[in-house]
Amino acid sequence: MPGRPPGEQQAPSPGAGGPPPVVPSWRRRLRPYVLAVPALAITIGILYPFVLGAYYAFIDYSAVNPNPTFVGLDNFKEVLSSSVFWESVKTTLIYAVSATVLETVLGLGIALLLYRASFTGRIFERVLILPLMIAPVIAGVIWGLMYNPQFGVLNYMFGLGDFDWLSRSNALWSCVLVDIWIFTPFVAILVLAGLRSLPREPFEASSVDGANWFYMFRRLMLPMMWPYILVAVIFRFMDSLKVFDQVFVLTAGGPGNETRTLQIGAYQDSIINLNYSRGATYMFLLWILVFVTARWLVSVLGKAQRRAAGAEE
Amino acid sequence: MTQYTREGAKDYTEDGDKLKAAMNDPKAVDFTSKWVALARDAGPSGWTTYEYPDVTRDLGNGSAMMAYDADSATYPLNVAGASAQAGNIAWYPGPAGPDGSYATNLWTWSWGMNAASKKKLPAWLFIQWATGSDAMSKAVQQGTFADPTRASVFDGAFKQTLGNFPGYLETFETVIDSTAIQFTPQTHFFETTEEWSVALQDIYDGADAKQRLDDLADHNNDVVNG
Repeated sequence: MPGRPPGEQQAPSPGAGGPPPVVPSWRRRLRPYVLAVPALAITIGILYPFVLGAYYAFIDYSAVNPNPTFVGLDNFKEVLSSSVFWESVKTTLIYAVSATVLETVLGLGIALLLYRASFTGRIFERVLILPLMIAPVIAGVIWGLMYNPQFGVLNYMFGLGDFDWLSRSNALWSCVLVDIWIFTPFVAILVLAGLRSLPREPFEASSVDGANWFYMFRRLMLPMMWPYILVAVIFRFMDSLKVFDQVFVLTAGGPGNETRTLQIGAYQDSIINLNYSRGATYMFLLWILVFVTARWLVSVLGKAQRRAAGAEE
Repeated sequence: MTQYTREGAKDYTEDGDKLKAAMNDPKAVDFTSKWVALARDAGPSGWTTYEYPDVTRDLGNGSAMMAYDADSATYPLNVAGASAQAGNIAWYPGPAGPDGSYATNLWTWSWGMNAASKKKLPAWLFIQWATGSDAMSKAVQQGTFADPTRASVFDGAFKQTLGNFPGYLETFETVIDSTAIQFTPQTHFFETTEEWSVALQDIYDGADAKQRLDDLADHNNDVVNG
């Protein structure tokens, strides 16, 4: 365009008639960096505590040791040789797997029930998201009151006497139940959105060919729904591995160490026992677990998406 | 810890320049077994997740008949209008040990100043104000402050405010001379007492008391001497 200085461009005209404002070249060159500032700030905000936490895992920092020194892998050796740590790993995995599986199955079932639009379905859709509006820590308090063996509403309603929902044998499953109550709607809504985005043509063609509902569900709906289901599984599994709020409110990791998840273990070591390095080591190991699992689940999701698109058998 | 001490049990004994965990000594095992049996037979359902607020709530609303706890957790409930059982609560020093001991554990909150503080004077002036007789008397009269540490406030405002609570002052006079922090001071206090409470919960849930306390003592020996 003749007449425009090299390296400068015209911005779109804000109004009709007048000449478009000229953007100086230095501003144009600066723009990408300015746009990157918020993302950079957030990244630094994430990376700084992460690097600091990782650093703590390699020193012997505690409230009674104000002059920590580098100890190499000693913290990892100590934590990995502790039976309490492995009990926490087991508890965390049982919690995450059972909560994710049950929420996925229930969420899928609820989504299928709500799939066909109806008046009651629309009401249920709105009611369904109510648990998601409640902070998990508040849900923990509410369920703690309902679980109370002396005046809790659950024992009263079901005539269970003084049944102890948070005893050693029941505590973990009672915590999983609260997780299911809070997060099944999340899975249901995600799957429902996926269901409603499916093309109608394959189902109509199958119906014309005389396929029954179960056949269409197994052969058409489920393969096309896998990517949506896997997204829900990834979100819920990652989140469940990091569970803290409702479990801490309900049991604080007890009775004994029965519900001591890795996050609660890290809290106990850092905040209660004032051994910051051991708490940081717990968190670092949890990060490895979450990272490896997330990478694997994302690769599974990629395969499912390619399969749903017909690119892979 | 109060009754544990009265029964002659200790948390640690000194072994040269090291500490030796004593929560698996015969007296400690015997007392722990009785204490856990008491909690199981006469305590609340869900004892393992029962906390201080639950204790005070249940005593205040009348669903618990007795609480064995620090006085600061109980006397506010007897202030008129503070709970359903206000006016019905009385105090007792608890059973003496076999040798007549009324040893009592002191659980206290204190003001402290960091040696590295850059504003020591304002901090010191604040501590003087907060522990002065005027501020302490006002707090006592409002029913928000337990067990004033100044004798003048205790004998004055405190007795005027709580003196008619049945058994309260008598209990205080009975135990005060043998009251001290009964825990052995050591730098891993929080970690080792947390493990101790986990062991008690395990025993409550059926673990053998001797075996579990042996394991606890081994663990705590490693931690405190490590």
